Amino acid sequence: MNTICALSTPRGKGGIAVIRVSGDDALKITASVIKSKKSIEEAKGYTIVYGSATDGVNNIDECLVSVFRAPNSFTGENVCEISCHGSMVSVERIIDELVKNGASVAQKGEFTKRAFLNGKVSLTQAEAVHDIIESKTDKALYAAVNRLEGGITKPIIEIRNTLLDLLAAVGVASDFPEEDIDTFAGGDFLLKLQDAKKELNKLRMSARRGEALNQGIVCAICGIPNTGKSSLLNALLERKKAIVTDIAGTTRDVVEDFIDIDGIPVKFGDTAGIRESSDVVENIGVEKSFDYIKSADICIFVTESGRNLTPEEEDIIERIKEKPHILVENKTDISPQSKDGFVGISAKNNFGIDIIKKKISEITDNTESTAFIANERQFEAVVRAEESIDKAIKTVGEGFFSDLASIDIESAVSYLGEAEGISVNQETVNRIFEKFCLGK
Amino acid sequence: MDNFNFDVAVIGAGHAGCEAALAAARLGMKTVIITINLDSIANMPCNPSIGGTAKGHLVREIDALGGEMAKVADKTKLQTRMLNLGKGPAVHSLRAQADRRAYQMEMKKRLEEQENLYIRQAEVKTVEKDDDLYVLTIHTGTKFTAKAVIISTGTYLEGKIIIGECSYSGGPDGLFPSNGLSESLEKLGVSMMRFKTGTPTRVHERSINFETLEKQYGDEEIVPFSFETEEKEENKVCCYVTYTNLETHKIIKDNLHRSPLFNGLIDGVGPRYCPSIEDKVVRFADKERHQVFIEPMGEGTHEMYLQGMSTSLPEDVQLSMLKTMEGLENVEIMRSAYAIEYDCCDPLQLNPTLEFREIKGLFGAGQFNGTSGYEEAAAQGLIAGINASMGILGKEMLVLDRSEAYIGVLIDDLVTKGTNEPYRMLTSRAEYRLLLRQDNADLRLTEKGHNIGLISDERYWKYLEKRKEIEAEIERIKATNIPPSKEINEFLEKKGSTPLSTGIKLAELIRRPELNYEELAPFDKNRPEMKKLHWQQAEIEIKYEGYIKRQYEQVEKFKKNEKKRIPENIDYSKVYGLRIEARQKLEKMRPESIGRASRISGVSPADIGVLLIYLATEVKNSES
Repeated sequence: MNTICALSTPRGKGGIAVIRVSGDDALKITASVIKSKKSIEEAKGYTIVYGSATDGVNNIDECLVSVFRAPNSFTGENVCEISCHGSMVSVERIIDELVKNGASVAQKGEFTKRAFLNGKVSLTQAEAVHDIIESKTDKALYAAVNRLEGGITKPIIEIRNTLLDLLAAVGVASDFPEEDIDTFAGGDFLLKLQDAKKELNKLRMSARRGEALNQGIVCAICGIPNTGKSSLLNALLERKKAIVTDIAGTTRDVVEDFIDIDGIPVKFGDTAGIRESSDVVENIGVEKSFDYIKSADICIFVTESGRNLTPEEEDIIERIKEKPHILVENKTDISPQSKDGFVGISAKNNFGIDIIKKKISEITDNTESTAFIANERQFEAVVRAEESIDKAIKTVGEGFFSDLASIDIESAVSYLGEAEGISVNQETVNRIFEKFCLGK
Repeated sequence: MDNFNFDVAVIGAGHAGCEAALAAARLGMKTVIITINLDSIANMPCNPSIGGTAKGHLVREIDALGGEMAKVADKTKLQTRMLNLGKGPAVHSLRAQADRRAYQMEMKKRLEEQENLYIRQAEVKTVEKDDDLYVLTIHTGTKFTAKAVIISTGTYLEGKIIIGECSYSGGPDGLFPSNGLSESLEKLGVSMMRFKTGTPTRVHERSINFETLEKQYGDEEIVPFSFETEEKEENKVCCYVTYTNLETHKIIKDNLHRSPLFNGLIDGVGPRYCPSIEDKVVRFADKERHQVFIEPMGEGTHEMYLQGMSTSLPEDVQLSMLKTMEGLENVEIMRSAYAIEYDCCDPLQLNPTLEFREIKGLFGAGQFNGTSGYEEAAAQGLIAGINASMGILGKEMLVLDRSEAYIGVLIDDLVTKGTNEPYRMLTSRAEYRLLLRQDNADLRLTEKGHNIGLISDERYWKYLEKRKEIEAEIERIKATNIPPSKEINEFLEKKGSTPLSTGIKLAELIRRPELNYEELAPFDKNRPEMKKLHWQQAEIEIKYEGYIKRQYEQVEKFKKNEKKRIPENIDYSKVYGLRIEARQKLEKMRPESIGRASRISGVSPADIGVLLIYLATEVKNSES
């Protein structure tokens, strides 16, 4: 295969950057760009060579080159990983030189594709690698790594096993009707199906968390004007993002930014204060606020201490009460916190901000499953499997025969993944003979 | 006309051989069928029954394609039962106790009466290739030639009988083994495996005390196997059930060291679904009893068969364990149970046509291909007989896919996945089993049987009429409106079904699990006169419409991959990125389609991805 190269660490200024070179001539091309005492071309796999990247005239950067030899590399090809200092200027120049010496710039995902084509990673793993590349924070990275090592499959395998047991029970009853075997010993068929559905449902719910890990959770800050929403945003972000004035209604558009709360990217949106107004521009802002609240995952409602809730405020609370929400009483530096169920803070003095962050973390952590479905394909598989189990439950519930339901259970099992080189039917048959005593 | 040069030669006249020979002869091939003993044609050395779960499906499919097994079974049956009637229609299965001798004689007569078919008693010693012709040399030195050869040798090849510590070279049922042919086949390039199977004790009827035993009668209403059998008959015999007990198990356990299965005398692989009683007692130690069926061997004999007591323990142990069982206290053994080891081929060498991939004109069928069971054998025999003929005629061979027939599932499993034990058909193996029912085998396959030339025009027209009648009835049921009335609501309440407040389509009522077509007759004023087999089809199609539709959707997906052809001349060494194991397997099996490639064990979804990418780029390259 031709040799490809690309920056493998995120773009942007960092401590170091890694450029990966992969292909038949990876070592040769790298050697012609990085001048070193020890020969890169002759280096053994899994060794590191120190050298300087040069454009032939000037040194570009000092580098360490990790050498991997085919097939013992990520892609299964010869690979060099060039660690250089993280300036984008030197990275660009090194890549330029690699290209001049015969490499081509890798397409997005091409390394993984080669790894896949060389049988180095399975499709699921390839997807997980993609997620590592795309993941935004440490926890998301952890979930992706977990899946790369097979962690994700565990709850799925358990559900699959339960379903295969049911199939074996139906199979043995259908194929060996004369054997005196109580195939449903140890549990009611319908009950087991319902349990499987519950588990799938849990997994599907946890997918939301997986999604959150990749895409971030949206948290809307809302309230009537001039309660200090923008101040709260700035305090959460620990920087000045929103303009803060004493004039009510300053924020007329949604101001957003990310922070990392316990490894989860949380996007805060400071919404325009909600009130009846004759100002057309402000009214548009209010409408936007409502839309934003609707689509947010979490809402923080902000009011002031020292007074009762206004009818408008009660109306807002009514709107957010179905969602995970946090009620905040700001300006406790002026008068003491007094409302039940509210968190007292002073955005101005940075007081109580940690409590809000902790509450957000509690909400995002509030899923039982630790295995996340972290991509579309798996999500779809779980959804489909759940649909099939639903049909099977309906069949059994209506009083039809369990062998009729087995067709949908088989579908569910195959949605949850086919074992390599063995069909669901073969698995069922094997299980029949493992579990039941049969035969003439 | 000489009797030495043939189009097709069939070696072995068991259930596979008989179907193969009849099919070939009927397709105009000058055919010879050779067997070690003419009195063992279509023998049933194990249980005297035809059909059963999934096997009954095969018998009906054989019939729809123009085979013989169903008709002979109908003619010689002693008792029939439709199994699984309490379950869904996919798993209803017909089984018949047959009169073993009568079955043999009936099949032998049909072979004898078949035009183009020559029957010879002989032991084939060698099969050699001479250009395009095969030369078969029998034990006397006489030679036959044939353009195509079908090997259906059952358990005869290098057969070895084992009874406890005693073992000797022998075929099934006291017959001679076939020694030497295996080696000759290996020279031709066939690679062989060694399997084992067993059969239970036969005992004398007079020594059994039936009084306290559970009786098992046949069905009141006899359903024939063949779609052509019209006559109604009655069940003639009754079967009985007894059980092993802790004492039986103790005797077995105490004598395990004398069982060849445990002391290492047997190294062939036995079937899991047909384990010996010692195997069952060891593997399922906490089970306190095992069921044993006592079945007659025929009307003209007092020999009884003990289904469930297959064993290779020594004779004295066989006797003492039987005597512990209810009804068998004074049992008199007529034939001892035995295990038999035999040579068979590795079916991975076969194409889905049952022709050896690398040995043109050589076909395998039945136990020789690693299966077990009369019905599995007959199904393969029929396909091998058809395809040997098609090969000689230069016509397209018949391959049924997994969505068309159990026969398709059977052969696809064998030639794609291979087998490491004698393979038995099971409904659980057929993923599209709601479509592949035993009741609609004729609707699925008559057309194919007719196209091949094994189904007469007359039968084909009948089939077309039946089809039309069923379709019309389905339409009528869907269009018929049932108004609410006092009568129907009384009926519905009695059935535990929701009463009607407005009119409802008859189809909707039939779909309710608690109702059926027959019982709704009084409320369905314009119901036409129709055969039960016909309205039953309409009923099933309507009642399970949703499920059937879902299966069709699955089939459509399946067919997509079956239709993605892999070029015959593909060079797998050029497919960059295939894992070594997958490359070797694909190279060896050369599957015709992506679908079949994906079912080969050792070929992962990633390999299929690679193959698809390769094929796509190849197409692109050849276009540009």
